[in-house]
Amino acid sequence: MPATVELHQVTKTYGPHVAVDALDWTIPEGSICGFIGPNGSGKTTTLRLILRILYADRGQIRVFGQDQGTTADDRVGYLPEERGLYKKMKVRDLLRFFARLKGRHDASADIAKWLERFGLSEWADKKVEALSKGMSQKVQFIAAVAARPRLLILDEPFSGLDPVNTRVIEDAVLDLRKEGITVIFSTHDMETAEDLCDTICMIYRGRKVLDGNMEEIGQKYGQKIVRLQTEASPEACQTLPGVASCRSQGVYQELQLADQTDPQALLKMILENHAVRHFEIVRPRLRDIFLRLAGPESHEAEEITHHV
Amino acid sequence: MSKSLVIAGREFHATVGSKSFVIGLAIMPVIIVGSIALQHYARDRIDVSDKRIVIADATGKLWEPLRQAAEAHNTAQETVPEGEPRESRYLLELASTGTLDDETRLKLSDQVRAGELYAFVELPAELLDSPTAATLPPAPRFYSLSRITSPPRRWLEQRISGALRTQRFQAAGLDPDVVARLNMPVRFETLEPFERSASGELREPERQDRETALFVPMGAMMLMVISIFMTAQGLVQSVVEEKQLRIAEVLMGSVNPTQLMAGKLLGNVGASLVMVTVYLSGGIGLAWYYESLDIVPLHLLGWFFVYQVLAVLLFGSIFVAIGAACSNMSETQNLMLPVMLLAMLPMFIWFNVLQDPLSQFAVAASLFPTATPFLMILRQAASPAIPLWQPLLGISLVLVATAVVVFLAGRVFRVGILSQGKAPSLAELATWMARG
Repeated sequence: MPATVELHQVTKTYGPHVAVDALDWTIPEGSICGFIGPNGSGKTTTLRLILRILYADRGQIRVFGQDQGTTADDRVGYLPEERGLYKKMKVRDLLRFFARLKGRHDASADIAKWLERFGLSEWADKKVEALSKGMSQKVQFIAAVAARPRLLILDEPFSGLDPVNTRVIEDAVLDLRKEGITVIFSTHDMETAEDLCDTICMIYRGRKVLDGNMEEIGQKYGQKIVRLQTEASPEACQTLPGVASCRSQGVYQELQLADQTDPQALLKMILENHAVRHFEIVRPRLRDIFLRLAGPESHEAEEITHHV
Repeated sequence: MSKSLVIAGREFHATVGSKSFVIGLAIMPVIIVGSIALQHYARDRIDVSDKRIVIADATGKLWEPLRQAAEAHNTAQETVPEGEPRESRYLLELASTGTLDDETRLKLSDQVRAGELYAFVELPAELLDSPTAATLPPAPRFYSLSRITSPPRRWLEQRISGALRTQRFQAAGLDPDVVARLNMPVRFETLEPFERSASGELREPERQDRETALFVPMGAMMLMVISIFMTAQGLVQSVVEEKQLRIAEVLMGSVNPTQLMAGKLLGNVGASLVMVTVYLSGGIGLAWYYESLDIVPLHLLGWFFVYQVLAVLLFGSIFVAIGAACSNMSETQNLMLPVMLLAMLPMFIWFNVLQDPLSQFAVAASLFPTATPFLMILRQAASPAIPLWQPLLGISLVLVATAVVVFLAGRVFRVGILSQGKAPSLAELATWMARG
């Protein structure tokens, strides 16, 4: 699959502070890519670099196969983290204005369609200042997509949204992917990232520490966890060979396996002595991997950045 | 370019459609008309009550002419038509003695304080002595509570001087009427230079009106300065608002800083043109109504609009950069002050430039880029003899200066528009300009 965005050894510094450090990253066309990392790790800077709002000190950025120019690309839609709208403008006029800035002068039909989809049709001729926060966020999303971009960059699109509106935006993003649009979004919401994204990239202190689909990430960085429902006591589970720790979760035990342990071999071993009602190899959660890599006591990320 | 036009269009509508613009546009003529009305009102409200003045005439010769002058003045007041400004009647009384003792002075002073008497005047006998190089006659004394510029005092002073001169001329054996005629001063009739028309006939030179020569160019310059001041605030505010409301980054996802800045400047030029067009049309309309269209130099309208556009571009780009460098309006004040002073500089020297539009000083001042739009139109309106190369050179210099300012301001804008927090120091601003 051709790449929509390619970053090669991209570095951006602010005085002595290195915001993005030799970043390599490829985003395949038509995929949804989650961009995660703790606050201040360089996510917004990276997105601004892709958008050509900022210029990299070193490295190469190719968007749609083209090297970095100086002008904004009309094929890229952008929803920044810090967002604002002209309060005195009417919603429809504002959306037309943003579409025209992207070179689309006939976006009225699309705007009407999106307003309808988000239940905002009756607000089209009201001023932005009359909208609630949730409505403003949806209007902002429409502003990013009304000009039919081929690449959509969303910086924290779900922050401050209630679950209902989060679902509305999620569905919209999935529909855009069906149309072949590439979507990059940064988020702190690990569950959304896991559910929505084809690939995940995590940066920590400007360096990439995680990149790939959930399957690959799970295999590479996930701890092996098994959920077990059996007659054996938690104490008995704890003493099984190859089990690092065992936590009782009520009806089942959660076993964390040592790195070399084969779950199938473990299952066989348990079956020899106990009846097993439930045995499940749990897919590691992104949230756990994130905490492991970026938590306050983590040194793992530091090590990875020297090897990735 | 089309993106800049989209930005310009929004900016223009947002500015011209805003309440503050419409109010600002309406308030200027209201202030002008209001101040004229206030002057009329104040003129009708001056004190025109009768003024009793006692004259102690030790010369014995001045009372009669003064009494006659007062009578003529009072008669004139009675024939003033209704609605025209009227002056007080002067009721002069001759004191029983030519010289006053201190007791009498005190008694008269009490009357002055009580408001029964406006003033009393002592005319010493020595007033009639001819002044020599060594000695001057003593001054007449005027006792009153009135201020120095009060009309009765001025009137009386002039009449006493006149009467005294007549006395002195008669004493010297001269006829005062003859002297007055011989003393007649010279006044120029000022004319444009002669020229030959296209058909070969000598054209009658036109008379110059001094007031027109002063006020029309001055008005043109003022209009330009006002338009800069009125739009500057809005321009800075719109940039600061885009930063505060975090709209800037949304825009930067679609346009680059140069396009954004160009759009804002163009929108602002449009708004300022609307403003000056409204005022100019009003002014020309008034001149036409009062059949004074000939005092308006219509041939300079084209130049005026060129200078207007240049002035807004030059100052506008500075204001946009200031807005981009600051996070809120109060921070912009410190940076705006020097720029405002720069725009006001021509106001301090306009009179000198107008007095001699062809002087070296006037030429040099009008070629200084930030002053060119204001002073060059002033000079062109004041004198038809400005060689064409001067406005052309001035315009070129302004264009070069604008290009430099736009380039530097663009760098400040690009760094500043996304940065939040405290306003940059001058050193930081300089770094932004140097590095971009």
